[in-house]
Amino acid sequence: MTQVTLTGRVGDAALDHAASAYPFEGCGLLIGYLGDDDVRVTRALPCPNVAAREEQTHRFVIDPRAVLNVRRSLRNTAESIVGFYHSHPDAPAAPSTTDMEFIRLWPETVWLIVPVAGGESGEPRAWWLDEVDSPRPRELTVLVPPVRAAATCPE
Amino acid sequence: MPVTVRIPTVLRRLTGGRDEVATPGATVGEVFAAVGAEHQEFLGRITEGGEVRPFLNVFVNGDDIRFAQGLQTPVRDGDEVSIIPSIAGGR
Repeated sequence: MTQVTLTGRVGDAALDHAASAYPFEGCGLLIGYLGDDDVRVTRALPCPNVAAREEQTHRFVIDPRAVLNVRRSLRNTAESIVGFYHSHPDAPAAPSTTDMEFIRLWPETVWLIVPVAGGESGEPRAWWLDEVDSPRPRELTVLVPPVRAAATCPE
Repeated sequence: MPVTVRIPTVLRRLTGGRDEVATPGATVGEVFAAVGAEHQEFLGRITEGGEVRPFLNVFVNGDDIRFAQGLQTPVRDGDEVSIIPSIAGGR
């Protein structure tokens, strides 16, 4: 895996959610298609941050029931949960020590991190652990293709 | 119709790459023991001291076994046991 493509408005959705959650961490699921070399994300699904309120400025937790329910809704479709996103308020978009604990539980999964400085989202970065015992996650290239304007009827 | 155990990616190496295993059992603990009988390291990675390990969540159909009877939670043929690692982190 080398890259993750945020199709349509997925990038905007994740960045907007990250900014609106500030100064707390925002988080959610990434849904899409897993290819050989590219993960195509078709939807960013915001989830409540269920960490203790006093910890939400530096910690996020997604209810595992969200994963269970979304997986069920995607059964018999070609889409799956391909990753997670979360924000780092006033911190860089690199995996923290805490992130690493959980990235290790989710190999072959995109971890998209959105930095938020003073309420403004910055460039997201994506990380991917090849295998359970890989020493550290690799950074994936994040592609955000321009969204084409809807075709208009000829006059 | 046996119970189906859905295996997360992080544990699939323990089940020969399989993402689900069908096995009989009357409780979640029995089901895990049956999977462990076939795949040796499985049980030790799922449970510790008679409890599900921290950072792993187990559901029977849609119900979290922590709010039922833990590993003693009864299961019936056709039930689905899902193991979902915790999703968390922070800056």
